[in-house]
Formats: sequence, structure tokens, C-alpha cells
Amino acid sequence: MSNDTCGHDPSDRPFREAARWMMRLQRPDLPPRLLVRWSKWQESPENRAAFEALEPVWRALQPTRDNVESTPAELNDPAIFERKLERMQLVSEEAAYWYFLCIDDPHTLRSDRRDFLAWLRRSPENIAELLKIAQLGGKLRKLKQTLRSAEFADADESLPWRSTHKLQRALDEDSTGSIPSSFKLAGIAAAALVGVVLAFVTHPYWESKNIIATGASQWHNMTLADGTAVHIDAHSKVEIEYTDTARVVLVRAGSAVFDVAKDPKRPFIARTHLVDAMAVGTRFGVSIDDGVTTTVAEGVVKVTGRDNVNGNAVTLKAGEELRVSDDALTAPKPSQVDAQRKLQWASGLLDLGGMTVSAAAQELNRRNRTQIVVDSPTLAARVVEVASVKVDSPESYAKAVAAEPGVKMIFDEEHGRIRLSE
Amino acid sequence: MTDHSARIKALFDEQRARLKQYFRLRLSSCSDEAQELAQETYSRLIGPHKEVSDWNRRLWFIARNLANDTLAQLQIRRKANSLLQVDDEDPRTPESTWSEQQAAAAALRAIDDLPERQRRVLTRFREGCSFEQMARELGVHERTCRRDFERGIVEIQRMIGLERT
Repeated sequence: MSNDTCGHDPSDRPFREAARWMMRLQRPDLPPRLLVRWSKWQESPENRAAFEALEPVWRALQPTRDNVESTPAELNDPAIFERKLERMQLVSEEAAYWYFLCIDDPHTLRSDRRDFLAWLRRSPENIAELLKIAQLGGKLRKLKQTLRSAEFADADESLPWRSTHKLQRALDEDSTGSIPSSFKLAGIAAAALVGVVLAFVTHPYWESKNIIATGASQWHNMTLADGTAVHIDAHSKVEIEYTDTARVVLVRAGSAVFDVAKDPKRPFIARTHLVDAMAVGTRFGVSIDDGVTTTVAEGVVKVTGRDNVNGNAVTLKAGEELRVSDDALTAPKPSQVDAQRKLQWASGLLDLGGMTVSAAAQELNRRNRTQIVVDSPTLAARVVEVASVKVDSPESYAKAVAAEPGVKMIFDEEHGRIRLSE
Repeated sequence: MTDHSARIKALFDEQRARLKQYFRLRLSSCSDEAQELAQETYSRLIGPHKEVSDWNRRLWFIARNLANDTLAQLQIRRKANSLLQVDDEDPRTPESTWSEQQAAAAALRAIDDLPERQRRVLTRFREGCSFEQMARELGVHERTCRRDFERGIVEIQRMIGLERT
């Protein structure tokens, strides 16, 4: 390898430039024109490959909490340490003051409660210190009442959300409530009775191997013992029945996509109420909707009648789909589809480009709690080009449609709906 | 379908991978979080639009500000968690955590084989030290620290690459 006049190996050039870009990209004030320049720099395949190769090394070198906490710089600098200690003492004193003023004193003035709120907003340290004191004082219920009367609920958006969440959780754990012992005994007896009833009701499910059921806005990804990845859509139900001789997954409702690990000794079977779809090592999806649709993205899948592996079969290759409806009277035939696009939901994205607003809304609505309602028939029939949206984000799609001229979007919080109209 | 929405879609499709890369680097975040932020960038880009002369620059302007805001929120959250002695939520999967741990272990082994100044700079970087602080400690210019870091990281990548072959 020949080196340039600076002693650098020329083949290192893209890596050195990539390292420089990585440092530059950390600047919070980096001008957007430099970000555009970085993007153009990556258009060269050599540069892009160097950047991607360097990224894991960069991430490996990032400071972790353990590394930073053991940083000697702060610990060795007495001035920094002193200042920190002073500040902590001050925060403790302030927290104690507010606690006794607003929690212990039944006649707290409204103005004091407002000042208290302002003090809380200043820093998460203040919230943390107050929680510690409240827990020691055993007065979490009182704290809750005081904060509510200071209109805390309206103001909590301005607090660091995590601190608010911790505060709320601590408030909900009432450490001071005293429950009469007779109620406690009744509670225990009731819980035992419910437990016994549940045991009888759910006994069949205990004997089944791994049932996974999802509701609205719920998706589930899992890897099975053999390495097969299963992606379960919202509103779906799947049952795993693996044995030494067979790998069977029952799709009882909804949709699932399978990335099947190769195991020639044990074929993989996705079983539905109508068909069995058998594969050795492939990627395919099964969907139940007034029938069964099997879509193959990679490899080969053999579809037969349920529990009839050796019966008449339809073989599907990549890019093919077979739909068997519940009332099928004739033998179904495979059709060509964009299988990667159809199964894209398993990766968390939906490609709704080229679809009418109504069809796109349907795709999102059948998966999510938040529903999109299209008020205008002309808007419903319109095709809006959008980039792929996250499968759990109907809001993103609605915003994209609302960006079209003349379209209005209203979020109906009360009913969990997004209304689109012209 | 309007020209505007088609144009924005084309731009976003072209830049999506780089946006995700940018967010991963700025926020040390996992792929899912980076994807969410990329999606949010798109949502803000297609919002009520005025005539913009350079949509590419507008896209990166939004992305940079979103990264800054998210980083600020993350830092507050981490600080609150450390005060409450609670572990930060880790959105990564066990597989990605394991592979990152392997990469980190390989990088640490490689650091030991670097020349002294590069080794010190990279070690201090891992401890969260800024280049300015490093320069003061080492008695050199900040530019020298950055150059040593650049050479060190490239050398580590080369050593890890050789280790794999």
C-alpha cells in the first residue's frame, strides 16, 4: 500500500472523512446546508460504505452511564464537587420547606400553591427531592390532593414528562391508606374465589402451547425456539404448537407473517380453519378475512386443505398470493401481487401510496384504536401520495392528507377519531 | 394527487435512510426510535407549507431541530431517572444489545493497541469528556485532539475489520 505525502493510506480517505462527518454531525448548531452536503457526500458508494462501516465503532465508543458516572474530572475537581453539594443541600431545604408549607399545613394559600408549582417546574431534581420527603413523611395522599388543587393536572405538560410520570405513579401508590382488617380478609377471600374460577375457565388454554392474542393498536413480534420469526398484526390470534416432529402455528384470527427458519426434518405449517400453508424456509404471510389469503414474499409455500398435507396442493412462489374464501365453490388460483409491499406492515410501516384516502383509512382503522373518518365522498375517492407511514400512526397519514389544498383535519379526542373533510 | 405531495414524498423516500442514520448518531438511539423521528420529520415537512426555495435544506433544518429537542428531553429524563435511582428504559432488542456489546468489546480491545495519545483521546471520549476538556488535559490544541480521534477510530475500524476476516 502506498501512502500519500502526509503518511496516510489513500484507501483510508473515505473513512477519515466519515469520522470527520460523525464529529461534525454532533453539533447542535450545524447549518442545514452542511447536512445537505453530508447527504450529497454519501451519494458516492465508497463514502457510504465507509460511513456505514464506521458507525458501529462510533456507537461502541459512545459514553455510557457507567463510564460517565466514573468520570474522574468532576470527582477530582473540588470546586465542582463543592458547588454540587451546596446545590443538593439547597434543593433538600427547599423541598422540605414546600412539603411542610403545602402538605402539612391545612390552610395553604392559593398563591403559595402556585409558587410551589413554579418551584416544581424548575427542575426534575426538585420533583425527586419532594418525592423522597413525601415518602418519608408517609403523606402521599395529601400530596396528591394539594397538587390537584394547584391545577397540577393542567400544568404537567410543562414538567419533564418522565418526572411527572414518576410523580403520578408514586401518588397512586398510597402508602398511608389504612384498610380495616375485616375488609382485608374479605378481599383475600374474594381474590381466592376469583382465582379458582379463573383456573376452571382457563384450563384449556393452559394446555395449549402459547396463545398470543392482540387487540387494537397492538402488534407482537416473537422468535420461536427454532429461530422462526413471527409478526402478529393487530386484532389477531395465533397459537404455537411445536413438537419434535412438526412445527405448527394456528392462525385463528387476523394476520401473521412468518420468516421461517430452515429445518427440512420439520416442515413449518401455518394452519387456518380452511387451509394449511407449508414451507421449509421462507417468508410468507397468512391473513383471515372471510376466507384465507396466503402471500409469499420469498421461497416456496405449498397450500393444501386443512389437515390434508398430502391432498391437492397449490404451490406458491415469491410474489404470488392465493385467496380461499369461506364459501369457495371452485378451486382457487394464485395471483401475482407485490408481496413485499403487502407484508410490509410486519416491519412496522404501511405503504399507502397510490391508494384512495378511503382504502388507506380502512387499512389503518382495522389496526388502530384511533379511527380516521372521511366525511367527504370526493375526498374519500382521492388518491394522495404519501411516504410509508408507521402502522401505529394514523395521525401521520391524516396529517399528510390534511396538507393537501382544501382539506381540513379535526382531532375528536372524546371519541378517539380523526375527521378529514373538504 | 398534487405535485407538492409527490415531490415531498420523493424527497423523503430518497433521504429516509440518511435521516434515520442521522438520528441514530445524534441520539445514540435504536432503529425504531430513529424511524419514529424520521416519520415526525416528514409530518412536519408536509405541514401547512409556504413556498420554500430549497425543500432539501428545509428537511434537514427540521431534522436538526427535532434532534436537538429530543436530545434535550432525553437528557432531562436521564437526569431525573438517575436522581430517582431508576434505570433508563432500553428500547433495544436483546439481539441488538448483544451485538452492540460485542462491537464495544472489540473496540475496547483495539483501543489498547493504539498509539498513546490516540488511546488517551478515545478513552476520555468514552468517559464523556469534550474535545475542549481533553485538549486542556493533554496540553494540545483542540484540533489535535479531533485529529487523533479521527485517526484512532479509523484504525480501530481497520483492526476490527481484520479481526473478522
